[in-house]
Parts: sequence; structure tokens; C-alpha cells
Amino acid sequence: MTAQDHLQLLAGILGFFTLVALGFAVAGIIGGDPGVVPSVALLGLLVALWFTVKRIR
Amino acid sequence: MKQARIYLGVVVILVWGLAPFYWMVVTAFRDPRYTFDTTPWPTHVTWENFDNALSTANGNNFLRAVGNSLIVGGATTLIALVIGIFTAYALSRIDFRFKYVVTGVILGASMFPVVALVTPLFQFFTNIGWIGGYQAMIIPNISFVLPLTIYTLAAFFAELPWELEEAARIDGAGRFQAFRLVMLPLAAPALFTTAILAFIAAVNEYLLASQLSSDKTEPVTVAIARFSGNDPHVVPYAAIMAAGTIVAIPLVIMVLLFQRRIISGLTAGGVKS
Repeated sequence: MTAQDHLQLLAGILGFFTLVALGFAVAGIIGGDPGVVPSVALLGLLVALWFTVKRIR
Repeated sequence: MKQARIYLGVVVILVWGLAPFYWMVVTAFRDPRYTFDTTPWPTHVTWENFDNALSTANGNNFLRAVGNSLIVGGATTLIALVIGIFTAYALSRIDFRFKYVVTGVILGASMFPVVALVTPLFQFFTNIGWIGGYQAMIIPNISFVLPLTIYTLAAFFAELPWELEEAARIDGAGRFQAFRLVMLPLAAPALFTTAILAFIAAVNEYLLASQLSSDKTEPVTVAIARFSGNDPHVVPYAAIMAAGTIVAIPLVIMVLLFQRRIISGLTAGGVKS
């Protein structure tokens, strides 16, 4: 596996958890129980994913 | 001296691994009045605990729970294997863009804590009327068993010699034909290994089953946890041990029967290098 492959692997893991965090954050907002923690977790994951994708390119 | 150390290590690992199983069997055959006896070999041997485990007198239905476990485990294993075979083949044999992103997503899914899904799944299955049904356990189980299936099979497919597949392609077989007629039979030992691992994982699942099953569909893990004896204030440990022995023995027999297929490599001698 090359360094690019490792980055792709990381992007996959982060992408999965970003999607889950997005689901939790949206479900919280729709369900009338918005929270700071799910949104901050989503933001953190999005930033990490963005950096990873940027490195892949 | 070196060999003696190896054998010592083997003995330590065997004792470490088999001691709980041995103690379960010993307690299962011991008279319930001597359940907490610490004699390391069987004493006061009786079949009474097995009768109690199989009895339906106290509201237990152990045999039905065994049947439920077989249904859930069998269906989960079958579906996970079918999906896993194709995914693993694609991941190990076909070069496509973002292949490792897919691998990462699968790895991420396998890391996800089951406990976080219990409440959402309970609500979701209640809303669609699936709660208490077999499908409420089978579908989540597939998602947890699938990463294991894919990784085990992908590692095996990657080790199979490319030359056999290429030879089949040169002889006129299509990609799917080469996969079905050449690669899949070669992967039989890995399929058995994966099927057994997937089955054990599905049968051992407790957390989701405890929340998503009903009295009629509860698998053996839940049934044993809810085991009740003659006295509602006394946990029937001896009958629980007997039930555990009944559950463990078919798995042990299955591994013993298929151990040659599990450990043997069918590819040996397939290609001269």
C-alpha cells in the first residue's frame, strides 16, 4: 500500500463517521433537540476529512 | 530446551483457553446442590441440569431458542457470505478508483459501537412493525458480520495465484466464469473458515437480540440470560452451564468436522513457479 492508499483508507473511515455524525446532528435538529456536541463533532470530522481529501489530491 | 519452552507455551495457552469451557462442562454435570464445589474434576455426576435446561416447566423454552439462533445465525451467515464474496473479490482483484476509500468505509463500519445503534434500531423497527421478528436481528447482524467476512475473504483472494484466473480467461472464460468456476472452488477453505467465524459471531450476539427479539424469536444468548429455575430468587447456575454446554458442543463438532477444510490450502500445487 502506498501513502496515497493509506490516505484513501483514512478518508473512508473519516467519511463514514462524518456521515454518521451528520445523521445524528440532523436527527437532533429535526427531533427538536439540537445540541452543541453533535455539531462540534461533525465540524471536527468535516475539517479532518477536508484535510485528508486535500492531501490525496 | 527450546522445544520444551514451545510446549510449555502451548500448554499455557490451552489451559488459558479451555479452562472456562472445562469448568462449564464440569459444573453442567455436577449435582445442583454442589454447584459451588471447587473440586477441579467432575463430582456428584448427574444429568439433572440438562433436564432442567431443556424443561419448559419454568417458562423457559431452550430448544426453541436454539432453533431461533440457528435461523438468525444461518441467515446472517448466508447473506453475509454472498455479499462478502463479491465485495472481497472486487477489493482484492479489481483496480478501481477510490478502492481504499471503500475499504476505509468498511473498516469504519466495523469500528462502530453496537450499543449506539440499539435505541435508533429499536425505534425504527417498532415504527415499521419489524420489532420481535427475525429480520430485526438478521439485518443489523449482517452489517456487523460483513466487515469480518470481507476482510477474511479479501486477504484470501489476494493470496490466490493470478495465473489460474488468467489461464481461465485465456481459455475463453469471462471474468464471472473465471471467478465462479476457478477462483470460488479454490476459495472453499476460506469460505468455510469465514462461514464458521460469521456464524459464531452472529450466534454469540446478545446486545441487539436482547432488545429487538420477542419471546418467540429470542435467540439462545438471550434465553440463557433470562433462564429461571424453580425458585425465582435463585439463579439456576447449573442449568445455565448445561445450556451453555448444549450450545457450545455443536460448534465444537462443526469445527472438528471441517478442520481439514479450514486449515488446508486447496491451491497447493495449483501453479508451478
